[in-house]
Amino acid sequence: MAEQADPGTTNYSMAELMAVAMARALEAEDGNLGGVGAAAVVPMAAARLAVLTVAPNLWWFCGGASGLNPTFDNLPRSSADPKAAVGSTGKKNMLDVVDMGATGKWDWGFNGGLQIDKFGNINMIGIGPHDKLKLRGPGTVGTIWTGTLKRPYLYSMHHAPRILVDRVDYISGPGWLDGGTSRADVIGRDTLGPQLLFTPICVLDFTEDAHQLRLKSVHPGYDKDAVIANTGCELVVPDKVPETPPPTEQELFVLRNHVDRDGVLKDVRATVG
Amino acid sequence: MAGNQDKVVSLDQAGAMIAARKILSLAGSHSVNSPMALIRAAIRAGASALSIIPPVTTSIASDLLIAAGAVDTFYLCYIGFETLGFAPAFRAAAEAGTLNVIEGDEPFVMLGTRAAAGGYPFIPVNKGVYEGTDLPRLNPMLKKVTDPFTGEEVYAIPALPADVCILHAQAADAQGNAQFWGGNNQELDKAMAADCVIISTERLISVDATRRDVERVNIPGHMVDAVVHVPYGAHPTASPEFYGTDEAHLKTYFDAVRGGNRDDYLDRFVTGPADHEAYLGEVGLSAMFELQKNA
Repeated sequence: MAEQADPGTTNYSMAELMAVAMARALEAEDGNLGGVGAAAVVPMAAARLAVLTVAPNLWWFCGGASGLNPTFDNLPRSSADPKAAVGSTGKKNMLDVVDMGATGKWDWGFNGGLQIDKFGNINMIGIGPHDKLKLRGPGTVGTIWTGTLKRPYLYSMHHAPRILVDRVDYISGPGWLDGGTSRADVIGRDTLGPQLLFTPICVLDFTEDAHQLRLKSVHPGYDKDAVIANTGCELVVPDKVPETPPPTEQELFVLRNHVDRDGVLKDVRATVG
Repeated sequence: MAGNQDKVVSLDQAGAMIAARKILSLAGSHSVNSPMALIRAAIRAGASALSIIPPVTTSIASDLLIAAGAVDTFYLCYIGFETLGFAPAFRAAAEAGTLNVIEGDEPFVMLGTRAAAGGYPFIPVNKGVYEGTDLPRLNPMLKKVTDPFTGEEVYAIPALPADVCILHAQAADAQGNAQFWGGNNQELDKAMAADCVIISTERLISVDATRRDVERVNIPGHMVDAVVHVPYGAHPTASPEFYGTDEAHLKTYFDAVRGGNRDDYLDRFVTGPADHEAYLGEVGLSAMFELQKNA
């Protein structure tokens, strides 16, 4: 049964650690334009934290409220909340978000799925035969743009064998497709596939040539056996897998005083199993 | 239509106008600016067998219509209750096979609406948007066609016109000149893609007040058929600068439907209250006023 992921300390919650780990990764995107979608409270926190720590020149679009580079202190639970656009430097029209997806103008973005497979393909459609789904998913929404994003980043608030699968039942967002050169061959565009996958117990990346899911670091409170046991697909597991560095005092200070003053991330569900 | 200079109708009249039509387009993103009072009025007026074209993200607005048994067909892009979980009535109806779900996505809904707004029969998108995904296989309304100019294969997204579009505004005047604060500007195309446009509004303002603040007018009145003055008309979703999302009420709804008690919710909040004032009474004015702090 799914249980709340526990870092083994009361100093921070796993959602806080995830936000910090995702923010650090955005250092590589400093100066680039990306975005987060709906139901994305942790990526929203990560982008805001990244701007205040490692990526001061980040450009980011905040989902439903449609603000560019918002400067909220009180992390809203929904990217559609008008407060998610507080202090923005611009607003985008939804139609222009679509146009930019279709023309491949987004550098980076965070997406998740009901299922994510070993090549980083994501499924928001459902599980089972399409005319008789066992689990009806919430719909494709903007995950379609993982095919045209230059560098997609993935996350899941649940790490379980039913979510990290060998092959997704449906592809709503193309990752590395069948691995190797298949993404470039099929989509016919010069875009990279998924870069990293953040879960409540680890960070994963993808191997250089086959583009297969590989364990990169394990969060405090867990070990690589726990990751393997809770993953439904084959994983590339290096001999030595480091621990995800816990949030520093400074990162937690900025997160709690300038990003999430209401402590929303303290009780966000981040589960394992 | 351009129509007359006074388009104000009662909520009951608006509900009957919606219930008389079949393809319903909803404005408002997720849990913000959903035209909830109009939706409740349409359910009370007996709306049935609707096809719903939602905004790209939707929540209780669509789910309540499905819970009330008013929907046959749903043009899906995204429906969910964010941190609470999956949309309960949508999920149950889709899994039971009682709801026809069109497997859409952002470009499908946005460009289909754009096409209908402009009278374009379809809008082609480059093949790379859909290649590698299962959407063309699952959505029969997406067609692969040949670009007559380049000979390249492209996907055609058909126009998605609506019989009626309902929207919740922060301010509107009797002519229908309406202001939507916040959001991502899906409203104008949605209004243009519908035969009939009905607006509920927090504030019913004078035409003089519109003239003083014309930069904020998103939809000009000539596109609008009816205006209903409904303070708190987006509740339990948020109305920017008026009140925040009623998270506790969303949870009440979510738990009721997921727990098999949808009829209790519908009796208490939708079909039971005789009018919007009675609904406000059921929620409680002190709870309503509290939401203003979180606007």
